[in-house]
Amino acid sequence: MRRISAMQGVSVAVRLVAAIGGGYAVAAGLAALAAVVLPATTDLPRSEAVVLASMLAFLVYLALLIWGFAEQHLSRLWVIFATAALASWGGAWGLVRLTAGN
Amino acid sequence: MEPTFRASMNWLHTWAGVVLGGLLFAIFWMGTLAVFDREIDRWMMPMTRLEMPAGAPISIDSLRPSHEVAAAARSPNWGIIFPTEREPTLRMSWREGSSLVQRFIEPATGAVLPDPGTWAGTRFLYPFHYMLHIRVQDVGIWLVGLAAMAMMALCVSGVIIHRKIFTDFFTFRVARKPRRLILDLHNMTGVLGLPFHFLISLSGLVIFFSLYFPSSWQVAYNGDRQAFFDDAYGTHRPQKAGEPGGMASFDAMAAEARGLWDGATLRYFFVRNPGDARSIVQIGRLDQGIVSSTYDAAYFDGPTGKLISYRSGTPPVMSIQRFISGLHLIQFRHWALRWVYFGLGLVGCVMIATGYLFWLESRRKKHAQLGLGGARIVEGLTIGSVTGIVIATLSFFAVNRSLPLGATFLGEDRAALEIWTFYLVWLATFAHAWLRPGRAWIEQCWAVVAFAVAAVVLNWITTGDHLARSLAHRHLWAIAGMDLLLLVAAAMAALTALKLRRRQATRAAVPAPLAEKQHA
Repeated sequence: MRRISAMQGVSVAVRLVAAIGGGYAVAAGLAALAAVVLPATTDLPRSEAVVLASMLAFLVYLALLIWGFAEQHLSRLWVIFATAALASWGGAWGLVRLTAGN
Repeated sequence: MEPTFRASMNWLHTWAGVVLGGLLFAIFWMGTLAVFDREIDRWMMPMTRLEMPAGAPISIDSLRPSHEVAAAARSPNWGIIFPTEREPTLRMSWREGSSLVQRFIEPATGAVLPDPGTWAGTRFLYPFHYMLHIRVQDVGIWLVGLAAMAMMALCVSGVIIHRKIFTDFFTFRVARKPRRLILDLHNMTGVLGLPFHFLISLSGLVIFFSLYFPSSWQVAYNGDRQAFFDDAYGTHRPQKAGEPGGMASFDAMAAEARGLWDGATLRYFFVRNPGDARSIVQIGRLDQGIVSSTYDAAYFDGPTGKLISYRSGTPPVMSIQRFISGLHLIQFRHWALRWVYFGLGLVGCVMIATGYLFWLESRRKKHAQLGLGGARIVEGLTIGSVTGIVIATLSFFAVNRSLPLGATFLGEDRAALEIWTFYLVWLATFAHAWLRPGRAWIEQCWAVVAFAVAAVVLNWITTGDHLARSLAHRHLWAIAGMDLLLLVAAAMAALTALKLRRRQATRAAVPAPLAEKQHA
């Protein structure tokens, strides 16, 4: 049994924030995006799209959590999560602004 | 993070289990009890141990005086829940200021039963399961959500790290050393319960989809939650007129609602904004024959009694959500399945407890050699989380059968005293576990025996419903079931305590190096 060094402690903390917080941000962003895109592109009613997006978000979050703890390079983890979160939230917000303008 | 995927999953499985195991055990334990929450209610509220009336239900209009009380108190709602086989009383509730007023009514006569003075199963044990009674900022609900996500991650990582999942399922080495036996038991309960554990976590999360992933409706409905609910559930936004108004016949509205659903039985009758000129009556239908937790409801204008709208059937995605919720909430009538849920819940508890024990058994010696305190801290945490919460729950039952109705102490009413007992006893079990290492397991097993037997005996003394009597009357089977399960728990705890003591005795009798060889 080895003692945990300070560096390892910091890296575990950074990973926890990335996997739990970052994973949630991405899953929530994708849910928001799906809730806007689905009613606009299919004939699924808006409330149905919201329910579907939120339900699927749990499985997306689970997959992201697993990957968040499996990925060896912390930097790659952060870059991908940050990009995906920005893209999904930005896309959802942009689409809402776009459709509201019509 | 570790060199291989499997090693990473091993790390995740170990640490998520150690950090969240105590919380998960509490959630699983309370959820398992909540399977029989209404039966626990009847055990803890002897005045509600009634026979289900065979005749026609009492007139809802006869309960009007209480509606007027709620209107005078400016309660936002007044409602009644109709009796069912599992809950043979009519429950009436409204708000007075910040407190909830509840009255239990005998359905055959309309007589108001004495206040039971307890939160029992449906108000204490069941909400503990999904929100831990931490209301501030919904912290409790979010903690349970995190634990449920962790549970799913534990299921996935558990399968990945398990090399021989199929063959190991048939492996149970009772005669081998304890560490191997614990791991076998953890694997067996884990694999046996895997589909249940995964689906019960996922379905629990899906019930609260709009709370855990609000981003979808926040973006799609521009932050207006009520607008989303109106769309998704067909709810009616109650708007106050601010002026007093009359109220049409309750019975006529209930009869019309029954007619809408081909004479279906009703579950509840709710008045929104009682006494207001724009009060709305919401009547819900009871559907015990299907898995889905339906929310079919009819809305009436209170003062005129005219039907505003009603809902029957749900759109496809929402039906899936209701089905998944129904799988978790088990409000359908199926006694065999109800026992299966109870059994699988206990399997989950065993799995979590053995996971902890395996962690301890594999580290105890090394931690002692290195002078690390980790194993001792986790052992205390394990004992308090496992036997501790069981003892606390049993003390909750025992104190319920000891306090007289209307008891108060230090300004706290009876229901609050029961809850204080639960938390204080639970806290004491943690203290005991850390103060008496090596003995705590055995002593806490004996505490389980003492409280469980005391609960059964106290129930007999205070209500006269001993087993011979409760088994003989069908409407007392819930009481018999509870007493029998308490006795089974006592017997199992006594056997465990005896076995642990024998093992400790043999370990002490053999010289240390030899004992190491035999048991390590």
